Amino acid sequence: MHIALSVQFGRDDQLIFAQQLGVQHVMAQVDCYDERTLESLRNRVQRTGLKLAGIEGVPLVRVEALQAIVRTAEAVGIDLISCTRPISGSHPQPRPTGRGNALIPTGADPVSGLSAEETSTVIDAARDADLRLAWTGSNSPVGMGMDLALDHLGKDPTTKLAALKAPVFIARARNTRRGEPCFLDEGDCDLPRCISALKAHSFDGPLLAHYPLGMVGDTDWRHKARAYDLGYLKAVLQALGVH
Amino acid sequence: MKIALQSSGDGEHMQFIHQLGLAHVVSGATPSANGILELDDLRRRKDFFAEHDLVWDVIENLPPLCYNDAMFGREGRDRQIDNVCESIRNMGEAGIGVLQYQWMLLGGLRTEYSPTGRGGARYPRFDMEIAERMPAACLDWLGKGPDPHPYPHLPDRDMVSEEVWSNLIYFLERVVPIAEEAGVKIAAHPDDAPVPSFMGVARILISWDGLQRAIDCVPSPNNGLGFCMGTIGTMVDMNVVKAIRHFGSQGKIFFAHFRNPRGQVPFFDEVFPDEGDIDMVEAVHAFNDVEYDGVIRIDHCPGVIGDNGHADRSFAFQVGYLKGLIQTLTGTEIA
Repeated sequence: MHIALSVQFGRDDQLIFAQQLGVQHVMAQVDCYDERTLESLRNRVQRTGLKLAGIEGVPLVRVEALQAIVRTAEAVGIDLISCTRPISGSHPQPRPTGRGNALIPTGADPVSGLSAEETSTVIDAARDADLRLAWTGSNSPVGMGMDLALDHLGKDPTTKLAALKAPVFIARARNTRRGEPCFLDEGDCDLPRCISALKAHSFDGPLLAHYPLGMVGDTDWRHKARAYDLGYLKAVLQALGVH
Repeated sequence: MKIALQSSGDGEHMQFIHQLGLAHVVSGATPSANGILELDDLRRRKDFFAEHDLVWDVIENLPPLCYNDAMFGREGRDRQIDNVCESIRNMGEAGIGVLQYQWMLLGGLRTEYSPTGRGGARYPRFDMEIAERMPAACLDWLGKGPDPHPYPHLPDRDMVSEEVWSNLIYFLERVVPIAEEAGVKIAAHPDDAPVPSFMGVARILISWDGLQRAIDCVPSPNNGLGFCMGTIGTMVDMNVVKAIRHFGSQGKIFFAHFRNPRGQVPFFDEVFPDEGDIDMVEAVHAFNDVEYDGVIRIDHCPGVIGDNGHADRSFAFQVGYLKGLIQTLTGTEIA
Protein backbone atom coordinates (compact mmCIF):
# COMPACT_ATOMS: atom_id res chain seq x y z
CA MET A 1 0.00 0.00 0.00
CA HIS A 2 1.36 3.39 -0.91
CA ILE A 3 -0.07 6.88 -0.71
CA ALA A 4 -0.83 8.47 -4.05
CA LEU A 5 -1.94 11.98 -4.84
CA SER A 6 -4.51 12.85 -7.49
CA VAL A 7 -2.98 15.34 -9.91
CA GLN A 8 -4.06 17.12 -13.05
CA PHE A 9 -2.11 16.61 -16.25
CA GLY A 10 -0.20 19.76 -17.15
CA ARG A 11 0.01 21.04 -13.57
CA ASP A 12 3.58 20.02 -12.93
CA ASP A 13 3.68 22.13 -9.78
CA GLN A 14 1.34 19.53 -8.33
CA LEU A 15 4.03 16.92 -8.92
CA ILE A 16 6.51 19.00 -6.94
CA PHE A 17 3.91 19.50 -4.22
CA ALA A 18 3.45 15.72 -4.05
CA GLN A 19 7.16 15.12 -3.82
CA GLN A 20 7.69 17.73 -1.13
CA LEU A 21 4.99 16.16 1.00
CA GLY A 22 6.64 12.79 0.70
CA VAL A 23 4.39 11.14 -1.87
CA GLN A 24 6.04 8.93 -4.47
CA HIS A 25 3.00 7.91 -6.54
CA VAL A 26 0.39 9.96 -8.37
CA MET A 27 -2.90 9.18 -10.08
CA ALA A 28 -3.49 11.55 -12.94
CA GLN A 29 -6.54 13.07 -14.54
CA VAL A 30 -6.27 13.91 -18.22
CA ASP A 31 -8.69 15.52 -20.63
CA CYS A 32 -7.42 13.69 -23.67
CA TYR A 33 -6.41 10.06 -23.99
CA ASP A 34 -4.34 10.01 -27.15
CA GLU A 35 -0.92 8.40 -27.10
CA ARG A 36 0.97 11.67 -27.19
CA THR A 37 -0.83 12.97 -24.10
CA LEU A 38 -0.42 9.79 -22.10
CA GLU A 39 3.24 9.52 -23.07
CA SER A 40 3.79 13.10 -22.06
CA LEU A 41 2.07 12.43 -18.76
CA ARG A 42 4.16 9.35 -18.08
CA ASN A 43 7.41 11.12 -18.94
CA ARG A 44 6.68 14.22 -16.90
CA VAL A 45 5.81 12.17 -13.86
CA GLN A 46 8.89 9.98 -14.22
CA ARG A 47 11.24 12.89 -14.78
CA THR A 48 10.04 14.45 -11.55
CA GLY A 49 11.18 11.27 -9.85
CA LEU A 50 7.66 10.02 -9.16
CA LYS A 51 5.74 6.93 -10.20
CA LEU A 52 2.54 7.01 -12.21
CA ALA A 53 0.13 4.74 -10.36
CA GLY A 54 -2.52 5.08 -13.04
CA ILE A 55 -5.09 7.40 -14.54
CA GLU A 56 -8.46 8.20 -13.04
CA GLY A 57 -11.72 9.79 -13.96
CA VAL A 58 -11.88 7.91 -17.26
CA PRO A 59 -15.48 8.19 -18.48
CA LEU A 60 -17.48 5.01 -18.90
CA VAL A 61 -19.64 6.16 -21.77
CA ARG A 62 -18.65 4.75 -25.16
CA VAL A 63 -17.32 1.28 -25.54
CA GLU A 64 -15.19 2.06 -28.59
CA ALA A 65 -13.55 4.99 -26.85
CA LEU A 66 -12.81 2.94 -23.79
CA GLN A 67 -11.26 0.18 -25.84
CA ALA A 68 -9.03 2.77 -27.49
CA ILE A 69 -8.01 4.19 -24.13
CA VAL A 70 -7.11 0.73 -22.90
CA ARG A 71 -4.96 0.09 -25.97
CA THR A 72 -3.21 3.45 -25.66
CA ALA A 73 -2.62 3.01 -21.96
CA GLU A 74 -1.07 -0.37 -22.61
CA ALA A 75 1.17 1.13 -25.29
CA VAL A 76 2.61 3.72 -22.90
CA GLY A 77 2.87 1.37 -19.93
CA ILE A 78 -0.04 2.52 -17.79
CA ASP A 79 -1.56 -0.49 -16.08
CA LEU A 80 -4.31 0.92 -13.87
CA ILE A 81 -7.37 2.88 -14.94
CA SER A 82 -10.09 4.14 -12.65
CA CYS A 83 -13.36 4.59 -14.50
CA THR A 84 -16.24 6.84 -13.67
CA ARG A 85 -19.30 8.34 -15.23
CA PRO A 86 -18.70 12.01 -15.92
CA ILE A 87 -21.00 14.43 -14.18
CA SER A 88 -23.15 16.10 -16.78
CA GLY A 89 -24.62 19.56 -16.53
CA SER A 90 -23.73 21.98 -13.77
CA HIS A 91 -21.89 20.79 -10.68
CA PRO A 92 -23.76 21.19 -7.44
CA GLN A 93 -22.34 24.08 -5.46
CA PRO A 94 -20.31 23.03 -2.43
CA ARG A 95 -21.84 24.18 0.83
CA PRO A 96 -19.98 25.86 3.73
CA THR A 97 -21.33 23.48 6.30
CA GLY A 98 -18.13 21.68 7.26
CA ARG A 99 -15.94 22.24 10.31
CA GLY A 100 -15.02 25.92 10.50
CA ASN A 101 -17.38 26.53 7.57
CA ALA A 102 -15.26 24.40 5.29
CA LEU A 103 -16.85 23.79 1.91
CA ILE A 104 -18.14 20.27 1.50
CA PRO A 105 -18.82 18.77 -1.90
CA THR A 106 -22.08 17.25 -2.97
CA GLY A 107 -22.63 14.36 -5.34
CA ALA A 108 -23.43 10.69 -5.56
CA ASP A 109 -21.70 7.50 -6.57
CA PRO A 110 -21.52 7.23 -10.33
CA VAL A 111 -23.38 4.64 -12.30
CA SER A 112 -22.17 2.98 -15.46
CA GLY A 113 -23.16 4.45 -18.78
CA LEU A 114 -22.51 1.12 -20.46
CA SER A 115 -24.65 -1.92 -20.85
CA ALA A 116 -23.52 -5.19 -19.29
CA GLU A 117 -22.48 -6.44 -22.72
CA GLU A 118 -20.45 -3.31 -23.47
CA THR A 119 -18.81 -3.45 -20.08
CA SER A 120 -17.83 -7.01 -20.70
CA THR A 121 -16.21 -6.02 -23.99
CA VAL A 122 -14.11 -3.39 -22.26
CA ILE A 123 -13.13 -5.79 -19.51
CA ASP A 124 -11.97 -8.29 -22.10
CA ALA A 125 -9.87 -5.63 -23.79
CA ALA A 126 -8.30 -4.72 -20.46
CA ARG A 127 -7.57 -8.35 -19.69
CA ASP A 128 -5.87 -8.76 -23.05
CA ALA A 129 -3.77 -5.70 -22.31
CA ASP A 130 -2.88 -6.98 -18.82
CA LEU A 131 -4.38 -3.78 -17.46
CA ARG A 132 -6.49 -3.33 -14.35
CA LEU A 133 -9.79 -1.48 -14.54
CA ALA A 134 -11.23 -0.11 -11.34
CA TRP A 135 -14.78 1.00 -10.84
CA THR A 136 -15.54 3.88 -8.49
CA GLY A 137 -19.01 2.80 -7.43
CA SER A 138 -19.85 0.43 -4.63
CA ASN A 139 -21.06 -2.28 -7.03
CA SER A 140 -18.33 -2.94 -9.52
CA PRO A 141 -19.22 -4.85 -12.67
CA VAL A 142 -18.02 -8.45 -12.67
CA GLY A 143 -14.46 -8.62 -13.90
CA MET A 144 -13.46 -5.18 -12.75
CA GLY A 145 -11.70 -4.25 -9.56
CA MET A 146 -12.80 -1.68 -7.04
CA ASP A 147 -11.87 1.90 -6.54
CA LEU A 148 -13.06 1.67 -2.98
CA ALA A 149 -14.11 4.54 -0.73
CA LEU A 150 -13.14 3.42 2.75
CA ASP A 151 -16.21 4.82 4.47
CA HIS A 152 -18.11 2.04 2.70
CA LEU A 153 -16.37 -0.45 4.98
CA GLY A 154 -18.52 0.52 7.93
CA LYS A 155 -17.92 -0.55 11.50
CA ASP A 156 -16.36 -3.91 10.69
CA PRO A 157 -13.90 -3.31 7.86
CA THR A 158 -12.18 -6.66 8.15
CA THR A 159 -15.37 -8.61 7.57
CA LYS A 160 -16.52 -6.23 4.87
CA LEU A 161 -13.24 -6.53 2.97
CA ALA A 162 -13.34 -10.31 3.18
CA ALA A 163 -16.85 -10.29 1.74
CA LEU A 164 -16.02 -8.17 -1.30
CA LYS A 165 -16.60 -9.97 -4.58
CA ALA A 166 -14.06 -7.92 -6.52
CA PRO A 167 -10.42 -7.16 -5.75
CA VAL A 168 -9.54 -3.71 -4.42
CA PHE A 169 -7.32 -1.90 -6.90
CA ILE A 170 -7.53 1.57 -5.38
CA ALA A 171 -8.47 2.70 -1.87
CA ARG A 172 -9.78 6.18 -1.16
CA ALA A 173 -9.72 7.59 2.31
CA ARG A 174 -12.78 9.67 2.97
CA ASN A 175 -14.98 10.25 5.92
CA THR A 176 -18.57 11.24 6.41
CA ARG A 177 -20.64 12.28 9.36
CA ARG A 178 -24.30 11.39 9.09
CA GLY A 179 -23.78 11.06 5.35
CA GLU A 180 -22.12 14.45 4.89
CA PRO A 181 -18.47 14.57 3.78
CA CYS A 182 -16.09 15.80 6.46
CA PHE A 183 -12.38 15.90 7.26
CA LEU A 184 -10.59 12.57 7.55
CA ASP A 185 -10.17 12.79 11.33
CA GLU A 186 -13.72 13.60 12.33
CA GLY A 187 -16.29 11.33 10.73
CA ASP A 188 -18.19 8.17 11.53
CA CYS A 189 -15.57 6.01 9.85
CA ASP A 190 -12.56 4.87 11.88
CA LEU A 191 -10.01 5.39 9.12
CA PRO A 192 -6.97 4.01 10.97
CA ARG A 193 -8.98 0.84 11.57
CA CYS A 194 -10.00 0.63 7.91
CA ILE A 195 -6.43 1.14 6.74
CA SER A 196 -5.23 -1.45 9.22
CA ALA A 197 -7.79 -3.86 7.74
CA LEU A 198 -6.51 -3.05 4.25
CA LYS A 199 -3.00 -3.91 5.41
CA ALA A 200 -4.21 -7.21 6.83
CA HIS A 201 -6.01 -7.79 3.52
CA SER A 202 -2.59 -7.48 1.79
CA PHE A 203 -3.76 -4.50 -0.23
CA ASP A 204 -0.76 -3.23 -2.20
CA GLY A 205 -2.29 -0.55 -4.40
CA PRO A 206 -2.55 3.22 -4.16
CA LEU A 207 -4.22 4.86 -1.19
CA LEU A 208 -5.62 8.26 -2.08
CA ALA A 209 -7.43 10.91 -0.16
CA HIS A 210 -10.85 11.33 -1.73
CA TYR A 211 -12.33 14.78 -2.12
CA PRO A 212 -10.47 17.49 -0.23
CA LEU A 213 -12.72 19.96 1.55
CA GLY A 214 -12.64 23.65 0.75
CA MET A 215 -10.55 25.54 3.27
CA VAL A 216 -10.28 29.27 3.76
CA GLY A 217 -7.96 31.00 1.34
CA ASP A 218 -7.22 27.78 -0.52
CA THR A 219 -6.75 27.28 -4.25
CA ASP A 220 -9.27 25.67 -6.59
CA TRP A 221 -7.19 22.50 -6.40
CA ARG A 222 -7.25 22.77 -2.59
CA HIS A 223 -3.60 22.54 -1.69
CA LYS A 224 -4.15 23.13 2.02
CA ALA A 225 -6.78 20.44 2.36
CA ARG A 226 -4.70 18.00 0.34
CA ALA A 227 -1.68 18.73 2.53
CA TYR A 228 -3.78 18.03 5.61
CA ASP A 229 -5.04 14.75 4.17
CA LEU A 230 -1.56 13.65 3.11
CA GLY A 231 -0.12 14.40 6.54
CA TYR A 232 -2.91 12.41 8.15
CA LEU A 233 -2.47 9.41 5.86
CA LYS A 234 1.33 9.43 6.19
CA ALA A 235 0.98 9.28 9.95
CA VAL A 236 -1.55 6.47 9.88
CA LEU A 237 0.68 4.36 7.64
CA GLN A 238 3.76 5.07 9.76
CA ALA A 239 1.90 4.21 12.94
CA LEU A 240 0.69 0.97 11.37
CA GLY A 241 4.19 0.09 10.22
CA VAL A 242 3.42 0.38 6.50
CA HIS A 243 6.51 1.66 4.72
CA MET B 1 -2.47 16.44 24.57
CA LYS B 2 -3.91 19.56 22.97
CA ILE B 3 -2.67 20.48 19.51
CA ALA B 4 -2.28 24.20 18.90
CA LEU B 5 -1.04 26.62 16.32
CA GLN B 6 0.39 30.04 16.94
CA SER B 7 -2.11 32.78 16.18
CA SER B 8 -1.78 36.51 15.81
CA GLY B 9 -5.54 36.90 15.89
CA ASP B 10 -5.91 37.22 12.13
CA GLY B 11 -9.50 36.29 11.24
CA GLU B 12 -8.81 34.12 8.23
CA HIS B 13 -6.06 32.29 10.06
CA MET B 14 -8.34 31.61 13.01
CA GLN B 15 -10.90 30.10 10.63
CA PHE B 16 -8.11 27.95 9.20
CA ILE B 17 -7.31 26.76 12.73
CA HIS B 18 -10.96 25.82 13.23
CA GLN B 19 -11.05 23.96 9.97
CA LEU B 20 -8.04 21.95 11.07
CA GLY B 21 -10.12 20.93 14.06
CA LEU B 22 -8.09 22.73 16.68
CA ALA B 23 -9.47 24.53 19.70
CA HIS B 24 -6.26 25.89 21.22
CA VAL B 25 -3.90 28.67 20.26
CA VAL B 26 -0.59 29.96 21.45
CA SER B 27 0.19 33.63 21.18
CA GLY B 28 2.72 36.21 22.16
CA ALA B 29 1.78 39.31 24.12
CA THR B 30 2.89 42.90 23.77
CA PRO B 31 4.22 44.58 26.90
CA SER B 32 3.36 48.13 27.84
CA ALA B 33 6.01 50.82 27.64
CA ASN B 34 7.25 49.92 31.10
CA GLY B 35 7.74 46.28 30.12
CA ILE B 36 4.70 44.74 31.80
CA LEU B 37 2.09 42.43 30.27
CA GLU B 38 -0.88 44.40 31.48
CA LEU B 39 -3.93 42.67 32.89
CA ASP B 40 -6.42 44.55 30.70
CA ASP B 41 -4.47 43.67 27.56
CA LEU B 42 -4.24 40.01 28.49
CA ARG B 43 -7.93 39.78 29.33
CA ARG B 44 -8.91 41.56 26.15
CA ARG B 45 -6.85 39.20 24.05
CA LYS B 46 -8.01 36.10 25.87
CA ASP B 47 -11.63 37.21 25.46
CA PHE B 48 -10.99 37.90 21.79
CA PHE B 49 -9.83 34.34 21.24
CA ALA B 50 -12.69 32.99 23.35
CA GLU B 51 -15.18 34.88 21.18
CA HIS B 52 -13.73 32.89 18.30
CA ASP B 53 -14.08 29.63 20.25
CA LEU B 54 -10.35 29.33 20.77
CA VAL B 55 -8.56 28.82 24.07
CA TRP B 56 -5.37 30.80 24.63
CA ASP B 57 -3.30 28.57 26.89
CA VAL B 58 0.27 29.71 26.54
CA ILE B 59 2.16 32.96 26.13
CA GLU B 60 5.01 32.31 23.79
CA ASN B 61 7.34 33.91 24.52
CA LEU B 62 7.95 36.37 27.28
CA PRO B 63 9.35 39.20 25.12
CA PRO B 64 13.15 39.27 25.64
CA LEU B 65 12.99 43.06 25.94
CA CYS B 66 11.24 42.49 29.26
CA TYR B 67 14.22 40.68 30.80
CA ASN B 68 17.32 41.16 28.65
CA ASP B 69 19.18 42.95 31.45
CA ALA B 70 18.47 39.95 33.65
CA MET B 71 19.86 37.58 31.04
CA PHE B 72 23.07 39.57 30.73
CA GLY B 73 23.26 40.40 34.43
CA ARG B 74 23.24 44.11 33.72
CA GLU B 75 22.22 47.02 35.84
CA GLY B 76 18.47 47.33 35.77
CA ARG B 77 17.74 43.64 36.05
CA ASP B 78 15.92 43.96 39.39
CA ARG B 79 13.49 46.44 37.88
CA GLN B 80 12.91 44.10 34.96
CA ILE B 81 12.41 41.13 37.26
CA ASP B 82 9.84 43.10 39.26
CA ASN B 83 8.02 43.78 36.01
CA VAL B 84 8.15 40.12 34.99
CA CYS B 85 6.66 39.23 38.37
CA GLU B 86 3.89 41.74 37.77
CA SER B 87 3.28 40.23 34.34
CA ILE B 88 3.02 36.76 35.85
CA ARG B 89 0.52 37.96 38.43
CA ASN B 90 -1.51 39.45 35.60
CA MET B 91 -1.38 36.18 33.67
CA GLY B 92 -2.72 34.38 36.71
CA GLU B 93 -5.54 36.89 37.00
CA ALA B 94 -6.32 36.50 33.31
CA GLY B 95 -6.31 32.72 33.51
CA ILE B 96 -3.38 32.08 31.19
CA GLY B 97 -1.50 29.22 32.76
CA VAL B 98 1.84 28.88 30.98
CA LEU B 99 4.58 31.39 30.21
CA GLN B 100 7.37 30.20 27.98
CA TYR B 101 10.64 32.08 28.07
CA GLN B 102 14.07 31.42 26.67
CA TRP B 103 17.51 32.09 28.03
CA MET B 104 19.33 32.42 24.72
CA LEU B 105 21.49 35.46 25.19
CA LEU B 106 22.04 35.88 21.48
CA GLY B 107 18.74 34.43 20.29
CA GLY B 108 18.13 31.68 17.76
CA LEU B 109 20.69 30.61 15.18
CA ARG B 110 20.24 29.37 11.61
CA THR B 111 22.60 29.52 8.68
CA GLU B 112 20.44 28.68 5.65
CA TYR B 113 16.92 28.46 4.33
CA SER B 114 17.54 26.75 1.04
CA PRO B 115 15.67 24.42 -1.35
CA THR B 116 17.73 21.44 -0.26
CA GLY B 117 14.83 19.33 0.95
CA ARG B 118 12.47 16.74 -0.41
CA GLY B 119 11.22 17.93 -3.80
CA GLY B 120 13.11 21.17 -3.33
CA ALA B 121 11.30 22.10 -0.14
CA ARG B 122 13.10 24.80 1.83
CA TYR B 123 14.65 23.47 4.99
CA PRO B 124 15.98 25.73 7.72
CA ARG B 125 19.52 24.59 8.42
CA PHE B 126 22.23 25.10 10.99
CA ASP B 127 25.82 24.42 9.99
CA MET B 128 28.42 25.18 12.65
CA GLU B 129 31.15 25.55 10.07
CA ILE B 130 29.26 28.41 8.41
CA ALA B 131 28.27 29.85 11.78
CA GLU B 132 31.90 30.08 12.80
CA ARG B 133 32.91 31.59 9.50
CA MET B 134 30.10 34.19 9.38
CA PRO B 135 28.74 34.39 12.92
CA ALA B 136 26.75 37.61 12.72
CA ALA B 137 24.92 36.36 9.62
CA CYS B 138 23.27 33.50 11.45
CA LEU B 139 21.80 35.55 14.28
CA ASP B 140 18.15 35.35 13.35
CA TRP B 141 17.35 38.74 14.86
CA LEU B 142 20.06 40.84 13.27
CA GLY B 143 18.55 43.17 10.73
CA LYS B 144 14.97 42.37 11.64
CA GLY B 145 12.70 42.18 14.63
CA PRO B 146 11.43 44.85 16.98
CA ASP B 147 12.97 48.22 17.58
CA PRO B 148 14.52 48.70 20.08
CA HIS B 149 15.91 45.23 19.88
CA PRO B 150 16.48 43.08 22.99
CA TYR B 151 20.07 42.56 21.98
CA PRO B 152 21.20 46.06 21.12
CA HIS B 153 24.66 45.09 20.00
CA LEU B 154 26.94 42.15 19.41
CA PRO B 155 28.64 40.91 22.56
CA ASP B 156 31.64 42.99 23.63
CA ARG B 157 32.95 40.47 26.13
CA ASP B 158 32.95 36.75 26.77
CA MET B 159 30.43 35.20 29.14
CA VAL B 160 31.21 31.77 30.54
CA SER B 161 28.63 29.13 31.33
CA GLU B 162 28.57 29.69 35.10
CA GLU B 163 27.93 33.39 34.66
CA VAL B 164 24.93 32.65 32.45
CA TRP B 165 23.71 30.05 34.95
CA SER B 166 24.13 32.51 37.77
CA ASN B 167 21.97 35.03 35.95
CA LEU B 168 19.27 32.44 35.26
CA ILE B 169 19.20 31.25 38.85
CA TYR B 170 19.03 34.84 40.12
CA PHE B 171 16.03 35.35 37.84
CA LEU B 172 14.25 32.11 38.75
CA GLU B 173 14.74 32.56 42.50
CA ARG B 174 12.72 35.76 42.28
CA VAL B 175 10.20 34.80 39.63
CA VAL B 176 9.27 31.24 40.55
CA PRO B 177 7.71 32.05 43.96
CA ILE B 178 5.48 34.60 42.25
CA ALA B 179 4.55 32.03 39.60
CA GLU B 180 3.54 29.62 42.38
CA GLU B 181 1.31 32.26 43.97
CA ALA B 182 -0.22 33.16 40.61
CA GLY B 183 -0.77 29.58 39.46
CA VAL B 184 1.36 30.14 36.38
CA LYS B 185 3.88 27.62 35.10
CA ILE B 186 7.02 29.03 33.62
CA ALA B 187 8.61 26.98 30.89
CA ALA B 188 12.21 27.34 29.73
CA HIS B 189 12.78 26.85 26.02
CA PRO B 190 16.19 25.29 25.30
CA ASP B 191 18.90 27.05 23.34
CA ASP B 192 18.33 26.76 19.61
CA ALA B 193 20.78 25.89 18.12
CA PRO B 194 22.11 24.01 21.14
CA VAL B 195 25.78 24.87 20.80
CA PRO B 196 27.97 25.39 23.90
CA SER B 197 28.82 28.97 23.09
CA PHE B 198 28.47 31.48 20.33
CA MET B 199 30.55 34.59 19.74
CA GLY B 200 32.12 34.01 23.14
CA VAL B 201 28.79 33.86 24.99
CA ALA B 202 27.87 30.57 26.65
CA ARG B 203 24.61 28.79 25.93
CA ILE B 204 23.45 26.66 28.84
CA LEU B 205 20.22 24.81 27.98
CA ILE B 206 21.92 22.58 25.43
CA SER B 207 21.95 19.12 26.99
CA TRP B 208 20.08 16.63 29.13
CA ASP B 209 22.01 17.80 32.20
CA GLY B 210 21.38 21.43 31.39
CA LEU B 211 17.62 20.90 31.15
CA GLN B 212 17.61 18.97 34.42
CA ARG B 213 19.65 21.68 36.13
CA ALA B 214 17.20 24.36 34.99
CA ILE B 215 14.48 22.38 36.74
CA ASP B 216 16.45 21.56 39.85
CA CYS B 217 18.17 24.89 40.45
CA VAL B 218 14.94 26.35 41.82
CA PRO B 219 12.73 23.39 42.67
CA SER B 220 9.06 24.12 42.24
CA PRO B 221 6.00 22.57 40.62
CA ASN B 222 5.83 25.77 38.59
CA ASN B 223 9.36 25.63 37.19
CA GLY B 224 9.75 23.44 34.13
CA LEU B 225 10.37 23.16 30.43
CA GLY B 226 9.07 24.32 27.12
CA PHE B 227 9.91 21.01 25.52
CA CYS B 228 10.90 21.88 21.98
CA MET B 229 11.27 18.51 20.28
CA GLY B 230 13.18 20.06 17.43
CA THR B 231 15.74 21.83 19.56
CA ILE B 232 16.16 18.97 22.00
CA GLY B 233 16.48 16.57 19.10
CA THR B 234 19.47 18.48 17.80
CA MET B 235 21.39 18.30 21.08
CA VAL B 236 24.47 16.11 20.86
CA ASP B 237 23.68 12.42 21.52
CA MET B 238 20.13 13.24 22.62
CA ASN B 239 17.31 10.71 22.39
CA VAL B 240 14.07 12.71 22.35
CA VAL B 241 11.79 9.80 23.20
CA LYS B 242 13.83 9.03 26.32
CA ALA B 243 13.81 12.73 27.18
CA ILE B 244 10.01 12.90 26.92
CA ARG B 245 9.76 9.95 29.28
CA HIS B 246 12.38 11.37 31.68
CA PHE B 247 11.13 14.94 31.95
CA GLY B 248 7.48 14.09 31.35
CA SER B 249 7.40 11.56 34.17
CA GLN B 250 8.64 14.34 36.49
CA GLY B 251 5.69 16.47 35.34
CA LYS B 252 8.14 19.01 33.98
CA ILE B 253 6.91 19.35 30.43
CA PHE B 254 4.65 22.38 30.61
CA PHE B 255 4.43 23.02 26.91
CA ALA B 256 5.80 21.28 23.83
CA HIS B 257 6.80 22.05 20.26
CA PHE B 258 6.21 19.43 17.58
CA ARG B 259 9.09 19.37 15.13
CA ASN B 260 11.42 16.77 13.68
CA PRO B 261 15.02 17.59 12.75
CA ARG B 262 17.55 15.54 10.86
CA GLY B 263 21.04 15.67 12.30
CA GLN B 264 22.41 17.11 15.50
CA VAL B 265 24.84 19.86 16.37
CA PRO B 266 27.09 20.75 14.57
CA PHE B 267 24.84 20.26 11.51
CA PHE B 268 21.11 19.77 11.19
CA ASP B 269 18.10 20.47 9.00
CA GLU B 270 14.51 21.06 10.05
CA VAL B 271 12.61 18.54 7.91
CA PHE B 272 9.06 17.28 7.56
CA PRO B 273 7.83 15.37 10.60
CA ASP B 274 7.68 12.03 8.82
CA GLU B 275 11.30 12.01 7.69
CA GLY B 276 13.41 13.28 10.59
CA ASP B 277 15.56 11.43 13.09
CA ILE B 278 13.01 11.41 15.90
CA ASP B 279 10.78 8.34 15.93
CA MET B 280 7.52 10.30 16.05
CA VAL B 281 5.44 7.20 16.61
CA GLU B 282 7.41 6.42 19.75
CA ALA B 283 7.37 10.08 20.74
CA VAL B 284 3.56 10.13 20.72
CA HIS B 285 3.57 6.88 22.70
CA ALA B 286 5.90 8.53 25.21
CA PHE B 287 3.75 11.65 25.58
CA ASN B 288 0.76 9.41 26.06
CA ASP B 289 2.50 7.19 28.60
CA VAL B 290 3.59 10.13 30.77
CA GLU B 291 0.01 11.44 30.50
CA TYR B 292 1.06 14.75 29.05
CA ASP B 293 -2.09 16.85 28.92
CA GLY B 294 -0.64 20.22 27.98
CA VAL B 295 -0.42 22.03 24.70
CA ILE B 296 1.76 20.81 21.85
CA ARG B 297 2.27 23.47 19.25
CA ILE B 298 3.14 22.67 15.67
CA ASP B 299 6.51 24.34 15.24
CA HIS B 300 8.15 26.03 12.28
CA CYS B 301 8.28 23.83 9.27
CA PRO B 302 9.76 23.43 5.79
CA GLY B 303 8.76 25.76 2.98
CA VAL B 304 6.33 24.20 0.50
CA ILE B 305 5.80 25.33 -3.10
CA GLY B 306 3.29 28.15 -3.47
CA ASP B 307 2.65 28.48 0.23
CA ASN B 308 1.44 31.71 1.82
CA GLY B 309 3.02 33.86 4.53
CA HIS B 310 1.51 31.75 7.29
CA ALA B 311 2.88 28.57 5.63
CA ASP B 312 -0.64 27.13 5.80
CA ARG B 313 0.10 24.19 3.51
CA SER B 314 3.09 23.11 5.53
CA PHE B 315 1.26 23.54 8.84
CA ALA B 316 -1.81 21.71 7.51
CA PHE B 317 0.41 18.77 6.63
CA GLN B 318 1.91 18.73 10.12
CA VAL B 319 -1.41 19.07 11.93
CA GLY B 320 -2.83 16.24 9.83
CA TYR B 321 0.26 14.19 10.60
CA LEU B 322 0.07 14.65 14.36
CA LYS B 323 -3.67 13.98 14.38
CA GLY B 324 -3.17 10.83 12.34
CA LEU B 325 -0.54 9.59 14.78
CA ILE B 326 -2.63 10.31 17.85
CA GLN B 327 -5.79 8.77 16.43
CA THR B 328 -4.02 5.66 15.23
CA LEU B 329 -1.97 5.12 18.37
CA THR B 330 -4.47 6.11 21.02
CA GLY B 331 -7.83 5.96 19.29
CA THR B 332 -8.79 9.32 20.69
CA GLU B 333 -10.35 12.40 19.22
CA ILE B 334 -8.24 15.52 19.40
CA ALA B 335 -9.23 19.13 19.70
